[in-house]
Amino acid sequence: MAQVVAVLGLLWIVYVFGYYLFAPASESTPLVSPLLRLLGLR
Amino acid sequence: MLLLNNIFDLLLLTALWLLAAANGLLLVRRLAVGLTALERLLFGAAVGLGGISLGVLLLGSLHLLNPTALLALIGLLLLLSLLTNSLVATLRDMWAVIGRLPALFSQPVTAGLAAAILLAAAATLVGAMAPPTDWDPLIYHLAFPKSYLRAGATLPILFDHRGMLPQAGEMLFTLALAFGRQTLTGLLHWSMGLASAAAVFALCRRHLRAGLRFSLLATAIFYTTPLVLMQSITANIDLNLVFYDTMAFFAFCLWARPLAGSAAEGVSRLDGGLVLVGVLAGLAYGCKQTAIFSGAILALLIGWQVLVVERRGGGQAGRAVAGFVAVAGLLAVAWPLRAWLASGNPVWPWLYNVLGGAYWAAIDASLQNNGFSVLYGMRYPNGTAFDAQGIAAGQNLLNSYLVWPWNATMYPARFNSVAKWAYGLGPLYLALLPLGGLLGLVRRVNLRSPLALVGLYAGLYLTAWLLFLAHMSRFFISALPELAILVAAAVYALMGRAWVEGEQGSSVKKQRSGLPTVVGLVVAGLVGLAVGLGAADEAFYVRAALPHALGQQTEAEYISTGSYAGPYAAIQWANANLPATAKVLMGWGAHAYYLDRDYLYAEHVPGYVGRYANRPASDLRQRLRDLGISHIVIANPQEVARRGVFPSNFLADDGLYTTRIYPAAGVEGTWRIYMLK
Repeated sequence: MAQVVAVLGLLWIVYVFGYYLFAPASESTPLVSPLLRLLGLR
Repeated sequence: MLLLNNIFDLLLLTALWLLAAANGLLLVRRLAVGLTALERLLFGAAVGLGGISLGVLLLGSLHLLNPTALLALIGLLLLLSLLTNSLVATLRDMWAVIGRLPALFSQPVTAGLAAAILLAAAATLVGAMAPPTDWDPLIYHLAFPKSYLRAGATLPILFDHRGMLPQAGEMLFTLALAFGRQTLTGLLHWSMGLASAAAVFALCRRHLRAGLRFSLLATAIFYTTPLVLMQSITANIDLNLVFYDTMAFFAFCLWARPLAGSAAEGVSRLDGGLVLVGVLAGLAYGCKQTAIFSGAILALLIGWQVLVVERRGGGQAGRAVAGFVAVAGLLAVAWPLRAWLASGNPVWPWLYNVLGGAYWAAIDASLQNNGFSVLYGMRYPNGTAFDAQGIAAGQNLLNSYLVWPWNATMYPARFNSVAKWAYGLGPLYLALLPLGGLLGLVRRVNLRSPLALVGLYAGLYLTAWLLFLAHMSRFFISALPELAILVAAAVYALMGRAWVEGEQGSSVKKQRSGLPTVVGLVVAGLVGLAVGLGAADEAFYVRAALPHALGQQTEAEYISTGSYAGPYAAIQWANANLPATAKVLMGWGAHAYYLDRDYLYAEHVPGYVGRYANRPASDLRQRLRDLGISHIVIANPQEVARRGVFPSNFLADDGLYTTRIYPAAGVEGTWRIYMLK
């Protein structure tokens, strides 16, 4: 059971971070956009 | 010279904290025994700074708000701490804490976390030293103290709906501004963030008996939360609330969970521990009214502790809660009393329909520009709806209440009216808290464990937020210390690590490490990324303030390079050209802090100036004359119409009632200054 939670959890974590950092629809950009723009990633 | 000034402000800050800690220690050591050096410093400073705030308020109420009287207050405290030897004890505690700092860098993980915290602290220090340009400090946190000092008294301010709020933080700003130390005001709020971080660390060490690594992780998660970083560089009072709320919860943990069997640390059940909880909860109310929620939660927890956990019966529980409420009330009562005496309503202007209050009418109570208006679809005087915000920004119940953690993380701008506060939670809370909760369920974590208590407090706080304050995410900033601890626990659970130091009294014993290593690595990597990015991004954000912090730019030079240059120039023009006796009506977001003249705000309390949009302009002219107004400063002229104060022909370049004197005719400017004819 813990293993299943861990795998699902991993997917969830990666999804949240991916959306937060890179999803165009996200408005969370103030945190990372200056750096990401600097790095040419956004 | 400017650099020396900044360094001097840092020294003053340190001295003030030490003086507060030394005097607070006099009370704390009667209420709590067996505290560590760091705990003594934190509890002492919380009590001491709260006492200083109340002392400044007392001087202000007695019309003695001047540098001499304030120096006498400080001198008295210095004398007391010297005579009782508490200053020496506090310096010894500080030395002991400093002596332990190198241990943080003894292993790579703790060194990395400590470095992130240090980077965040250094970056926010640079930002905090910058001259204030944010809305709330300019419109009231710093503007009111300046008004008080001009009057030599903490006169009631009834032309702003924030005028009679608890102002313990503002009293410290008043102390700083009385001696012309503007930079110290920013540093005071910055230091509250750092102290809150230290409180998270101490809470983990004591309450959870966590190791260095876990405690630093929770501290770093809290301190690098974008919301906390952005608050740290602004002279607000939100981090004061975080500090006091956290220390009150900490005191409750100490009271509720005596660590029997930990004689090695010299810990025993706290004598008078409940009094300390009450003192801190009362002082928290002095920071911000939302402390009523943390206070209510603590009252609930105190009752629960006595009634259910210790099974000492309803009578005992009632007495404990009543004792807590009485002590907290005693420490908080100055603020509602001040509001009641001035306005007839102890929480003016809130609850107008029940308690009444000066300068409001039933219609006005629904029109005030505050969160409730935003939440419940209220409107401007001319009928325009407020922009939907926070929970109210959701399109339906599901969008609003069920997925708010997602929205508050991914769309933080919806939860804040000022763009800067769009800096939200960061991704760690959303990514890890649901998993931590799930793992807790799967592993049947002991619901009476210290960690569960942290979770219960945070859960209750978020519930209160959702019910009453859900239009702004910064209103749950006080739950972030506890949430950060839960995130750290989730990280450890996902990595299959035990975080309790030693075995005694542990709630999460060493766990089987059956989880794939890859999960642990990914989690650790992403946590490091978030914490590091938070700190690094803050450093990036404040880079423009670095020349000022290093003494290479004056206030005017710094502000003239930013977006506040126009308003600042307008106010400096007013300072240079308006007569010393001028009284200025400030309208539509015109901030009074930099203005060196008497003033009042036009729009924040509808009944104070009144609404004259549909009345003869001569009536308004008479009203302004009655108020002693000689000039009008209008920021954001496009806002004028929907506030309903001015008849359409009242403000004019050269009209019947006013003449525009800034900027010169033909020059466009967002801030305009008019002379009343």
